[in-house]
Amino acid sequence: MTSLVSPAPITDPAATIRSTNATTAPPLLSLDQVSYAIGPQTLVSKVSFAIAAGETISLIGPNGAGKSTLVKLILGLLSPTSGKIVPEQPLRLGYVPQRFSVSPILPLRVQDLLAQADTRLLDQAQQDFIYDKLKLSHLLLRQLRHLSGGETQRVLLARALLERPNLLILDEPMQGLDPDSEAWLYQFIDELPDFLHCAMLVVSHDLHWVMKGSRRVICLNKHICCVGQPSELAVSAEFQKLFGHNYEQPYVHKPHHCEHHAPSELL
Amino acid sequence: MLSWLAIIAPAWIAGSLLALLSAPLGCLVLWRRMAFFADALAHGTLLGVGLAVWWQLPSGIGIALVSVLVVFSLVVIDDERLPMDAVLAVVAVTLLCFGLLTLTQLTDQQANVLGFLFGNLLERDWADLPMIAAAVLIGLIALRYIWSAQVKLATHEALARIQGINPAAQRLFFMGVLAGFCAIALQAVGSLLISGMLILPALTARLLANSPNRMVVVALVLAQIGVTVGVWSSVWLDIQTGLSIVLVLAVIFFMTLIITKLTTKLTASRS
Repeated sequence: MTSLVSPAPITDPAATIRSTNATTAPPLLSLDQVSYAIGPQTLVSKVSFAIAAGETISLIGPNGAGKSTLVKLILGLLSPTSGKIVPEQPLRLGYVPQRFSVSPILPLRVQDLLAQADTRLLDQAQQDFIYDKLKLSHLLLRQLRHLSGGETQRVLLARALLERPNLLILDEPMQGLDPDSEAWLYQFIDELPDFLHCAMLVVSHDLHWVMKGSRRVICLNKHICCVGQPSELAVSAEFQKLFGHNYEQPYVHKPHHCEHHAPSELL
Repeated sequence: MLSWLAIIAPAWIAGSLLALLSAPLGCLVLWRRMAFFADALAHGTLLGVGLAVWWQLPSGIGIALVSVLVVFSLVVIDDERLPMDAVLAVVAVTLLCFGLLTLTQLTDQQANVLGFLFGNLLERDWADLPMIAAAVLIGLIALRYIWSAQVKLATHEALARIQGINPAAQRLFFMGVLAGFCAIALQAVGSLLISGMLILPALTARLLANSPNRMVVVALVLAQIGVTVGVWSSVWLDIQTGLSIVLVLAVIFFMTLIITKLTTKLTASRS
């Protein structure tokens, strides 16, 4: 638990340099008025933002806010019903899904899953670094189905990183993790070495992690409620209305605080 | 023994060739949850053969036609209120009825119906083997081509799609390989038992394997045992070859199941 409180990334020079770079870095992907609806039900409404190369964005919002749908749109697993998503550079997507289960009929060991990654962009030493850092060596021969939540997340993160993505998307990576593995995993993605450095979109419930860094925060409730740096957000009236002052508590969404710009059918 | 070998050899070789394709294909059928679909296709081969005999076309064309019909009818029937396994079971029995109807009413194949249902591998002779070998080889090349994408799709569809794999195209290609296998397996084990030959070795192998590749290897070995023991016992006991092959595979499956259950119980009680 100590790692949760000790090194705030804002004091980490590397992180500061990265975040300043991020604002000037060329865009990797831009979303323009992206909406997604199933029949009369709008899941994502007119979302526009751009992800710069190397930038980390945290995406927060209540259950049913369309976070996972937005992730699937960016991943290309769903096509927007209106608006467009434009990759400004060739994308190499990495994805750590929210839930992962392998059908019991498929006997899959950790090493079988990792072998499915396309590792051509990393040399052997870099691959070894990932195996080492994510403590995978003793897991390799275990059946994937028998891993704990934390172990599964490490394996999935390794599978994504082995392809050396330039945009890594983590969909609630901390679901089902105990606080220690959670803190460890956040620290790990905060301290990725240069050869793995990439843009990240992290869907998160953990406001503590979201607010302590210098990453851009996007709050989604079908539409984008607010966007900004944590320092700007925390002092803005809008943010305080949404989250209160006590934002280090687990996030509880108060829908009546989030009525601005919302399309009428959502209310 | 030796005099029998001369009679049995073509059937034995034909069966072994088929088993080379059925084992890996069966694993994919299980991993992709296509067992009911394979069964529907297999039952459809009967109608395919019936139509081909009636219209005096090669049986391959009849079977291809019916396979396209199966895929098309599934697209038409697709309704979220109806579970896919039930729809496939309905398609399978309907095709079986029409197949039997065509064969018995519209052709003079009444005497061969049992062979179409349960296989008549022993009627194969040396001249049939090159065709079967070529078909199996094409099937294996096709499987090799789609293998890694299929395993990735079976593992996690979203992760596979992000890697650029097209699930719809892969599914269609796989269905094509499956239909081709059903066409050549029809004469060996018969329409009713094709899915048994396809699925039983893979299912038994799942109990004995801890990785995808090992499951395929074990399934290959089991399929060869099933064909060999099945062909010889069908001659000794004078029963349909398809029947004896599938029975041997089923006996192996249940024995493996019981043994693996007992050994896990034993190791659990010891520790």
